[in-house]
Amino acid sequence: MTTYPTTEMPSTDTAVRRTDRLAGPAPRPGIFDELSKREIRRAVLSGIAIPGYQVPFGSREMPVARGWGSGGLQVTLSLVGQDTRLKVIDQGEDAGVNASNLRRLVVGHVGCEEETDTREADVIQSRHRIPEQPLQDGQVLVLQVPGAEPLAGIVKNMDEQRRMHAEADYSKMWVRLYEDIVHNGLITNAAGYPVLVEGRYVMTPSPIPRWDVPKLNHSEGVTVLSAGREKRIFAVPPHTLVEPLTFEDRPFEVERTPGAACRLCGSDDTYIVQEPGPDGTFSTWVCSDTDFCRRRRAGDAPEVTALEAALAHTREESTI
Amino acid sequence: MTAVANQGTRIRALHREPQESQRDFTVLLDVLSRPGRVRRLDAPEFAPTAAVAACGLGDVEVPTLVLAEDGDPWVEAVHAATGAPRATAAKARAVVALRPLADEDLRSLPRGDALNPELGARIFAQVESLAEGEHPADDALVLALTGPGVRKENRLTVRGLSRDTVTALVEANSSFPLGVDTFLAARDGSVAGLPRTTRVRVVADGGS
Ligand SMILES: [Zn+2]
Repeated sequence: MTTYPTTEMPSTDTAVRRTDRLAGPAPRPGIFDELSKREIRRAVLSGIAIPGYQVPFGSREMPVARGWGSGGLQVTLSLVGQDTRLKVIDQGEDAGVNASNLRRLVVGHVGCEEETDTREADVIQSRHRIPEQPLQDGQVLVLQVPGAEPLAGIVKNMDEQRRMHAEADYSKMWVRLYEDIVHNGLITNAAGYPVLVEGRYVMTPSPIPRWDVPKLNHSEGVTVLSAGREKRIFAVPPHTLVEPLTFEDRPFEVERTPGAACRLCGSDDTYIVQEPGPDGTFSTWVCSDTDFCRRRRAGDAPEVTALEAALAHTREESTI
Repeated sequence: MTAVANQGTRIRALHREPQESQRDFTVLLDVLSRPGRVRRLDAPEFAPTAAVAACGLGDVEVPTLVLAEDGDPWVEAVHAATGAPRATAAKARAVVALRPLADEDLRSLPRGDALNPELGARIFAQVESLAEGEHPADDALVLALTGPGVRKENRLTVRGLSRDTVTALVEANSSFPLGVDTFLAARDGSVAGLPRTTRVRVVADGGS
């Protein structure tokens, strides 16, 4: 049998000392300590094991303004190491001020690698978008969630919201969706289209456009959603059933603008947003996903977008 | 055992530095997200992988139960390396099983409740070996796994896990969202995840 060094640990090891050692030499003291990371990691694992369920955690104060992703930031800091390639996007853009600040903060804290190419990223922290590039096995998408509770607009009482989730009693949610259709002709839900995860929990996918919702179904990547203010983490493992709530005679539809295409790359199969012209009017469209748009122009983006792949998968499943 | 019978060495083996615990976590997240996948933790070879995996996630806030043979020094090492308080079976958030899990063990562990399903125990169970796919052998169980994280069906070959333990795990996870989440951890540092959502079926049992 192999022999090992026999250096003794100090026998007077106290809990305080152990906590010190756990924390380690923090590169940037005060941002996020080792114990907080471990708590987040345990919550993420619980989220994976109970898809769509909101796991409570002890959110810390983060050096970012509320609403700018303190929940997502804590998950990202718990995930990344020095060899992680990190992409951060805000509304699909890597270069935006908020995305740049968050990326710089994490890179400064951990010393990980910055990445903008979705294909190369290990961790993608995002606000309000899922990339057009299909996610791959091994990638983790961290979505910032301003409001974690899909029942918030339906019942005010938080105990009642928890009871409804516990008993999978979503009848009031269905009534609300039905009323929405009666009054507006469609399900308007602007703050994150509600989805049913693995047939059990109703979840908000964060305020992504409907365009991105089908990408959560049977994704190759792991999705972790985190709300710092509400102190809730929830997750969707790969190959998990995620269905937008809808009625049989009102099939779920993504946003499409007939005739519109990206001014830069010409795509009409990506999520496009209107941009202001010199006269202040909105007449032209561009891709919201700037990495994908750049690669489409360079001939380096796939023919089939994540949405098309997801819709094809759903069609395949429904014909079996 | 005598050659490494030094408690300081054991505690150091289980003490995970920030970079190690980050790497451990990405591995555990990957295998829990994809039941049937086997990956390795970078762990000292004389330390039980189940204890190493638990110690990278545990701390003073995680009441932990270590199930082992009487007098096993790794029990104390787990608590010393993490500061995790000792827990009874009924109150354990984390369970490190260095001996085979019996039906009684699994019946007494928390499964959470409807309002707090995350209070179900997180189990780190030591086994002999793990391999992706189907490799029938005299002393191996072949498990067929379906559920979230699995495209169609994954097969996992485990040595050092009894059919009775699997039956007890299936029973513990029979009323989702209540249940327990299990990491199987083998001698060579490899780990596999069985979240409570995974439907487990024994397709070959070399032992019977
Ligand atoms: Zn474009």
